[in-house]
Amino acid sequence: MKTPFPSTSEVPVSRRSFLRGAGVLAALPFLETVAPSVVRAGSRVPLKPPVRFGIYTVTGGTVSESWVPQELGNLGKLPSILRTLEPHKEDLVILSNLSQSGQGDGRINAHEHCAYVHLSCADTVGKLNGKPMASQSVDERAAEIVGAQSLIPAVRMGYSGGETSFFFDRQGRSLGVERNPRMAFERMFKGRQLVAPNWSRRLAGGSPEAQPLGSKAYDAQVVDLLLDDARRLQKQLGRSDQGKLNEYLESVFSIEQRVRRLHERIAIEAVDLKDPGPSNPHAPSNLPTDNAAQDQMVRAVSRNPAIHGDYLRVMTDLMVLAFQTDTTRVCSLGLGTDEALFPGVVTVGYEHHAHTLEHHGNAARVEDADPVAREGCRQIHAWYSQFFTDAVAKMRAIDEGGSSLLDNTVLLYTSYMADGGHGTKNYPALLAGGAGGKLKGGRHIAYQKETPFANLYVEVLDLLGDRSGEFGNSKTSKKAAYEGRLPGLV
Amino acid sequence: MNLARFIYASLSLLPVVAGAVVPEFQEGFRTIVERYCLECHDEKKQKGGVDLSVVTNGETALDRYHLLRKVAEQVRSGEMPPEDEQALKPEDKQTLLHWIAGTFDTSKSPHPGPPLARQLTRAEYNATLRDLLRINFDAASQAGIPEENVVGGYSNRAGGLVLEPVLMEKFFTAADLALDYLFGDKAAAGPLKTLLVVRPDDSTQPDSALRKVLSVFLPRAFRRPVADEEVNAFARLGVSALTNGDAFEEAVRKAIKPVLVSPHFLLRLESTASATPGTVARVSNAELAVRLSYFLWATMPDEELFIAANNGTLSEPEGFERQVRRMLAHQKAEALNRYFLERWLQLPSIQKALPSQNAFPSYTRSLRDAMERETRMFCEHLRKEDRSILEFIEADYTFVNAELSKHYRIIPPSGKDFAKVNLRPEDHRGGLLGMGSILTMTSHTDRTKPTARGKWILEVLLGTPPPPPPPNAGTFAPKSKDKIEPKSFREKLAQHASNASCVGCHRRVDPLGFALEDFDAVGTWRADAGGQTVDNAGTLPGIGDFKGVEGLRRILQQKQPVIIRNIAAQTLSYALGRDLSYYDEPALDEIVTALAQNEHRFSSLILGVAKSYPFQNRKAE
Repeated sequence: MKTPFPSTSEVPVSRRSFLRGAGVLAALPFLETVAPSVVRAGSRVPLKPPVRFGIYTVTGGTVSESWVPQELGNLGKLPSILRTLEPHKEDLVILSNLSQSGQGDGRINAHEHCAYVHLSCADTVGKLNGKPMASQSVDERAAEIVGAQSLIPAVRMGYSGGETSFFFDRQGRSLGVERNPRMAFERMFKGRQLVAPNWSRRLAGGSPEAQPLGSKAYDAQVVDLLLDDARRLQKQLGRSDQGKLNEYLESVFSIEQRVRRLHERIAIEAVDLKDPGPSNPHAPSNLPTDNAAQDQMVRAVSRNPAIHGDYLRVMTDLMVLAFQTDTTRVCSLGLGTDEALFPGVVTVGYEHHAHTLEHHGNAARVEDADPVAREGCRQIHAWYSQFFTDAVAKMRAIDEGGSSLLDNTVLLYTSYMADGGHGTKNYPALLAGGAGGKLKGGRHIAYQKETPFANLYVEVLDLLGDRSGEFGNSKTSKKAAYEGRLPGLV
Repeated sequence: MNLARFIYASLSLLPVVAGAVVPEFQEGFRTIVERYCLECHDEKKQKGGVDLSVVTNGETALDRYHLLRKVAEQVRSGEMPPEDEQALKPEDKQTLLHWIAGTFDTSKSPHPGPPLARQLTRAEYNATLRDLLRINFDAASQAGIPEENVVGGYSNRAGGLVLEPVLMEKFFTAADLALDYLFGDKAAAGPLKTLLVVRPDDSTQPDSALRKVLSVFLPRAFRRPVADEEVNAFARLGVSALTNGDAFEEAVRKAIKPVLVSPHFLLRLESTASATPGTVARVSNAELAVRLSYFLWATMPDEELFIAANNGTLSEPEGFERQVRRMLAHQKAEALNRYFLERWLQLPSIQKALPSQNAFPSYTRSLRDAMERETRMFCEHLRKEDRSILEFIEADYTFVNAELSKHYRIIPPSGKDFAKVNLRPEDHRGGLLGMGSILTMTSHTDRTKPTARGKWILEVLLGTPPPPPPPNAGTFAPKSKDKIEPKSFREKLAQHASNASCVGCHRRVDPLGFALEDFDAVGTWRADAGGQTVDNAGTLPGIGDFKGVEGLRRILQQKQPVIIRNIAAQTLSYALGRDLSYYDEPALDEIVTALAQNEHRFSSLILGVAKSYPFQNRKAE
């Protein structure tokens, strides 16, 4: 088995300057935004372990009367969907009345509409040539801010995709999600040791310089060859082919970047291994052992709740592990599927199909909904919450040297619809974690009705160090409020 | 819903006044629309999602082709303006239709559409790698290359594929895995021998053997003739490996890996180096061969097609037709069914259908698979036996196994396995409308969904999808005191659809589904619906009353030209990897004409598309 990418390579800077000079790379923001270094001795030394941003979003909307606490301010007994989080409530901030106002272009159905605005908060979403279109999603934006400091700028995993596409690049093109747990694991950890970063040593400046990459290495030659060839090719192509070739080049560069970072990281981790951080990272216990086992698991998700649960557990563990090992600082899980069946989870009525329950159990007014179906929806969401609770508990238990991983994370728990009737008002939203000591938990804050969800992303991005003060339609929404911020949150 | 699959109802059916000058925008469109349409279809009201005020002149009209196409179709058929509104005067109708037809007339300046960069789909990549290396190896699955994130429609849409970094990583991985297999697995000994056309020996130096191997491999990998300097560029890696002491095989492997992640391999690039921007030229023979093989086979050309491209026979009409017929009959043409026909019919949705166990205990996994197989075999039969595409609508045969025939209550095949069976009129089956797959995937867990069935007919067969429902339309209206409690599902739906914002679409959609009400949610012919008599009657605006699946088939008979043109449009759209527009109309006219002259045989559809102007030509940018 080879590494999933060239093991060593370095394209001389002179070549890249040449390419840029030739105008080939003018359209590659990637190179402008990714700073080429990891934390090195003597360079900008943060005082604490880094802040991580996690997105934990499940399908189907929720049942708000069982999600949103009645009282404002300090959290009392949590509503039933969140009940499993009771032991962790001092680490939670529940936010209510956050809403989306983005419009569809008339070419998308209600699920697509909700999915495309979910993490982008775009004013308009739609389809172009059958392909979802929105604006940059918050995970990608976050990766532009903090991604350069970790091995992989942003990790996206889970079951979302198709109608539930949540993730978009800077050009508004839909991005893929890794659905397979084993593939996700290999992409993150192939060639590395599982080691807890020794943050105090790393922050004190004890990291080694990586050995310079040999420019004569085979994989460097491969990349050189591809770039040379692509450059020659540019001259022979029409505009649209050139655009496609730029996409290609951008991807080859990002692989080159990955290789360089991996190389540097392996050197750092080799030192950490002698004196690792206090926690003990390990591969998820139910990580499928081979492709066949993995396919079996992934295929059964929508039919078998026990296997669905295994899947949520392993994906949750992967996110925790990714943060614990500083593989990424931005990790999104798009979990669940509206197509799933929930026999045994739903114990009322005879209907077990999430999508049908969502349609029957939701109406403009609670009293108009089918109460049995609504109870079914409630049970499904209480079930999802267990797995989120697992993530919170595990992150709380990981010691990063005086603070827990949870203390250093801001983890959003939400759904792509507000309710099962494709609602866009009053989404379920809570933040878990201390964001490096900046976020105080144990609270429920209700904002004015229809406050843009984008305002929450502005706050999260701010916690990560973004000072632009704007995201999605935080300022342009018809319902813009609080000058695009969420007062009292931080 | 996918707007990409829009209606291609026949503009050529429009009354074109020979020699008459196309009227100006103001008198040909704006004045008439103001008088008859804008009250409902302006920016504010946008009834049915239609806003005609966006068409402000002849230029903006060109960007609104799909909209105006629909306008023309509905005005022509009398569906619009609706009965209860002011009727169009015949001369106004004539003028409007004439203006639309004239605006989109490209007969004097043919246009092959925009040249689009094509990226191999997951399936194309996998098949191409398999054929290129001659190995039976599923590299895409091994490397975790994901299915295309395309909702509805075809996965090969040029605009829909993004070569994003994560995908590129997986192409690197897949290349390594495939080469591990080729150079390391015993099962690949034969293919490896074929690849290594020369081995170094006393008379051949290792580096010249390497060049020889590459000079045979590269043209196949890049699907075109390759210059010596390109061979040398890749050979250098192998030579450098040889210098470092690698064995010959390892050196070949190192020279080949970059080929498998090269843009020439992953993309379908067409050179326009020598062409003046704006000019249209026929694509080269090699490029045409590639277009053909990805259209019909979803993989690279085979030896014979390469030869036909190289020796020029592909550019001769007989030679071209011979190749198309040969490829269509080849087993690889199953790809055309899998990636085109089955997706057009939305057949993959049957795997997502979830009839509840309580309501339909007979619906098992094997029954579901049998339903899918019936449709698949029907499509295969159409291709292999070169049947008429009209059999999609009406046929006196189908394919069943024992389980499915029992489900359908028709005469079973002689054995247990799948076989072609003849149908009697009293079976009510034959064609897509009687198939369990279609009927089940358009149903709810516990009941039929006439709206979904109607939508399927409009979208798939006629190519006229209704707009998606507004975001708040998901549920039935709440009970209220001033409304009578509905007695049946039909009444419940009628109440829901009487809502002003819903009625415009529902009255076009639902009646088509009502006609299929004799089939329950898993496609069984039923005597009653939950104790109530089955109501299988429908009325369509501008068409009238009809009853049951037989009545529906008669309606579709009347709509035959629309259906044929839609099938032609879907096929052309799949072949080109893009949405169609007004400049494709002349090509569609020709395909439809050829179909009519050839008893609507499947081969004439495919030949028509392959010979069409946009398939054969490219515009330089």
